[in-house]
Amino acid sequence: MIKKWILTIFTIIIFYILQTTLFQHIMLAHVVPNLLIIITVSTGYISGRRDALITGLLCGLISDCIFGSLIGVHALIYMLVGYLSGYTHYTYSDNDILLPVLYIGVSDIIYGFMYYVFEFLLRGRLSFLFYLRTIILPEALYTILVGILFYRLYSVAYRFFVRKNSREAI
Amino acid sequence: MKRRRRFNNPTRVTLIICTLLCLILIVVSFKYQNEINPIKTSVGNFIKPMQSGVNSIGSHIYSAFDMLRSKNSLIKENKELKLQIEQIKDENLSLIEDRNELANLRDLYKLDQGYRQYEKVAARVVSRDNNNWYNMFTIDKGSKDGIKKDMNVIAGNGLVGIVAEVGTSYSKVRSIIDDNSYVSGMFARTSDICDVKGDLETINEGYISVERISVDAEIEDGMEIVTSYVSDRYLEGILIGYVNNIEKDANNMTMTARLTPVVNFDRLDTVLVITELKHSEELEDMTQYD
Repeated sequence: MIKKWILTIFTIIIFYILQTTLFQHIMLAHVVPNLLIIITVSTGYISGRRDALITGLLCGLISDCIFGSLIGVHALIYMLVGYLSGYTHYTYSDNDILLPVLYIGVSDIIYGFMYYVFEFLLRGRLSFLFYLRTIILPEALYTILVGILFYRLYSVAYRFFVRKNSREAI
Repeated sequence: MKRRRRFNNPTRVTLIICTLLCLILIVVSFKYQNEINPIKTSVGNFIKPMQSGVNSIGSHIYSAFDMLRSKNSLIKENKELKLQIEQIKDENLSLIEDRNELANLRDLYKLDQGYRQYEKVAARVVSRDNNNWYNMFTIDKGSKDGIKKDMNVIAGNGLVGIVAEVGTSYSKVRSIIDDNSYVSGMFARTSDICDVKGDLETINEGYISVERISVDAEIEDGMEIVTSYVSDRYLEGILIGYVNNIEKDANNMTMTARLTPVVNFDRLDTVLVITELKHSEELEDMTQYD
């Protein structure tokens, strides 16, 4: 149990640092992939709603603390996305890569939409289609591409650290 | 019966608790913005050193890729640059003439003091924002280097933005192309005041908008816009960019235009922070008595 959360926090920090530094150099179409969504949704897919919810909350809090003026907005969005993604746990299988990556893409679109509503629509920026075309969809596509690799890494690490342990316990 | 089952589900309870936690955090951080800053700063101080480490590795890799660029593009660039040199030579001539004229005029009006030189601190850009919606970035100088909130940030010869938040060894800069950014500008030649607003929607095409230009202003495409003297946060006379596409608004009282910033925000790695604040202590005293 503790091992699982140490792994999660460790992954969040590493992914966050990669996202803000390395990926800034390899932008495609002026967007950066959303690695925090990848962790949140992967957790939801691998271990269910509750874990994903807390992972999302942690992801949101870290990005709230570093950027953004109010603490809690990102946290709320990531948490809701995590909770929703937890429903996909029922379709979980060890070897599948297509489904989780698809979930990651869909979740990123949901995240983008919620972000637009919270931060832009409330300030009266109405041209949703523009934001959809230039940010949300490219970000989702890039996230899917990167997600193929990072989901694999995360699920292997997760299985190695967590699953092995619980089997021993049984 | 049904309601009871709903509340027995531990996942739902966690969801509700966490949602409430977020809402409380939003309200608290909104009300006590200054008190909550130390928490943010400590998280920042924890993350930043790692970021600058990874960042230096990243830029090494990037420059290695850059070296592999094909010869052809370099030759093409060379040709273009030669053309540019010719143009610049030409411009240089006229500039020299202008300079002589300026020197004469300065002598005439005894403006020997000229343009005031501001004290500046150089800083490296450590990281960009973590998502694609903002245009904020972090630099590696903070309060221990004398950076304060609301200091102006420039790069090359143009305005980049303003310091929005300061940590001990880092600070965050909101660039002028950010969707929330708002700068009071003026036309360098005619001193007409206008508002320069960042816009995420148009910056991809390379411009931001200039609003509320008086309809009487005698302006034309290509004029320089600098920061104005009425701004309470931006120092006067820093170049922002050049206008084009001037159009009259529907109300017939104001005009709008497009502004191309002089700074290239895509390739920003070092910036200069002007360590001089616009609002002096006298001004603060005055506002206190109001």
